[in-house]
Amino acid sequence: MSVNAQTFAPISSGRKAAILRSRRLVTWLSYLLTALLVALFLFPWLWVLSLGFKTRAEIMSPNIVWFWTPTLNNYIEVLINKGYWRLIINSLIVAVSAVALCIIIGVPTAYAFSRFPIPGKESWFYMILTFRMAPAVVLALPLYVLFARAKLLGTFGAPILAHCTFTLPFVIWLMRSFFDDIPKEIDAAAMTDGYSRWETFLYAVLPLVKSGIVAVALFSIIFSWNEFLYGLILTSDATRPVASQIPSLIRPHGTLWGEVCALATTASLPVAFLIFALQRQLVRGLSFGAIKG
Amino acid sequence: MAKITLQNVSKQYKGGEIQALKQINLEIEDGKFFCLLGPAGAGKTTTIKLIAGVEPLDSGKIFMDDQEITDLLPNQRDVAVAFETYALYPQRTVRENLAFPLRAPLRKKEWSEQQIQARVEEVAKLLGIDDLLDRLPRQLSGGQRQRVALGRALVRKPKAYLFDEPIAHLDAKLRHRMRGELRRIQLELGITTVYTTPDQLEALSLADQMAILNEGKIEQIGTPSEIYQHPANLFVARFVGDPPMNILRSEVQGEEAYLFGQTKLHLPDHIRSKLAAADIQRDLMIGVRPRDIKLVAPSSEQALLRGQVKYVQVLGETSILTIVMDSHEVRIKMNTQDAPNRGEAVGLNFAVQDCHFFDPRTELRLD
Repeated sequence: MSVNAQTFAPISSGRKAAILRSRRLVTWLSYLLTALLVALFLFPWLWVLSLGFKTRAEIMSPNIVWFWTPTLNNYIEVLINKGYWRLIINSLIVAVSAVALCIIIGVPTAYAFSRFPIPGKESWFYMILTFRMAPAVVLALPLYVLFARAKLLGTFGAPILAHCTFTLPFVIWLMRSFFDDIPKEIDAAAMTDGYSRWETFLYAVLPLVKSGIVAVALFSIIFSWNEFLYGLILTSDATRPVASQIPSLIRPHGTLWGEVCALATTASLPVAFLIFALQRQLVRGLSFGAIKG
Repeated sequence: MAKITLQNVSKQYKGGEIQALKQINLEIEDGKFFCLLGPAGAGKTTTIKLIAGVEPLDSGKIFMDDQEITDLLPNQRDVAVAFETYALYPQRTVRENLAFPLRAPLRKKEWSEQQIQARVEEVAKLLGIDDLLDRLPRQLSGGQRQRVALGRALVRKPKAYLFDEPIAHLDAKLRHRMRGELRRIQLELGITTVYTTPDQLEALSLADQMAILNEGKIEQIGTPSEIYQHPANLFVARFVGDPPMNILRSEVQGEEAYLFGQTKLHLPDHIRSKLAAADIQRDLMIGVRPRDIKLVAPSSEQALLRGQVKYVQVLGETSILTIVMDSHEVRIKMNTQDAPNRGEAVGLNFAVQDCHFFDPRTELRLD
């Protein structure tokens, strides 16, 4: 009884004010922390952005130049005169093809892992996962030899297939958890409704993981877009993606920082735009529970 | 329309930890309404899933008419299922959920778009969900979702309907109405129907034939009246009937059975011969339905048992009385207007021909 009486005792006005104060403090602290984090992530990017619009003298000046007249010379030189705009197309071809291939193969594979009684299923699954863990350097040389034999070197096939080594396990791994979240009764219902196993997958289950696929595909595109080593080793000048070409701007007589930054900024734009456009799908896809009815 | 036969069907879960069905044999006649009655965990849902083919069985065979369907895929069996868990498609509206079976690629030529819409609306009206057609499942209450699940089965005319507790989550009034509707639809179409329920009253009122399932075994198969009037064992006797049958332990001495050491009951000849055959020396279980016990004055010579009224539960016209004698309780059902008050002393009388006799060791019926 005494415990109850205490719980229901009215809170004094002084205590109330103290609670409100501490609550406000927590709010402000969380704002501050968020601002710090954003600044931390944004700073290098803004730095790169600013260098792209500076002249070589301004970049190399021992004192940081805070105010200057922006110049487009770096962009014109690297994209048009050097013709590197084509590399962005290369990156697009490689990333989109690799991801499309991995989604087409990976999503049905993930469904099979989620639904079928495959002997030794979990071991297979973890084996696929470990492929994802292998560093690119380990695979780069064997792939080089392999693709050389298959006469794939210098074609888009080489970086596309190489990117599948890390994108495919990622797709299978994430998509499986999406499928695992969908009750098996949905499959059972569709099959008794007259749908074959394959039609059940297409018409009843796949629509439920749509936003999951978008999220997974987006992440895969980012991985592929930013990939450096395979893009450097397995390609020719004609098929090299943009990220792998940046080292060519490091010259014996000095690095062309302005052009590096102009190219980096341009290369970031398509991915930034994609994320911005698909933001809502991404959030929905990542909050797994949201796909349940 | 089809006859469904299960032959020695067994099913385990979790690698043998749970034996869901143990050597089940069932024959469900063509065009009949067949109820599977049993408590939770008896294996009712498993039976439905095996007939539908959505789960593989461990051993045994399933036939539809005389064709074996054990290894056929669900979509080759032409059965319509209403799942206990509803299993609605969450991203589709009620209308699209109901239309889904009709849009199956294998039925592409059977149904035009107009026919689909007309059929969906017809079924929705029948189930009282026609005003919900454009909602998503998550915007519906449990009872409404259950009706959509039922509608998705009823929208087609398959060889068999499999309903897994299809109206369990509806409110009492609606459940009563739906029960009548389901029976009417089934009689009209003449489609073989398997219906599971834990509610014995539902099974008794709906079924042409029923089976009582308990811990993965079939306890009894028969018509509702056979099961009610001749329960095959103590489990069925206790499970079917509300309130449940009173089971009294008695001691046999010669031609008589003694109840609570005070009352002599003269055993009929056919029971005595069964007793001898079953080698029952002393104990005998005697079951009496609450309806078959009459109240008499405690001083009357007719009073076989005497006790005191402990509770009176009024259910409108009828009442259920709990009578306590020594440490035992007996329940009787009678007209409310004749019911005594709480605390009154009463005498109980029942006829030997209304008694059910069970072997206490095997728990089987004796006659």
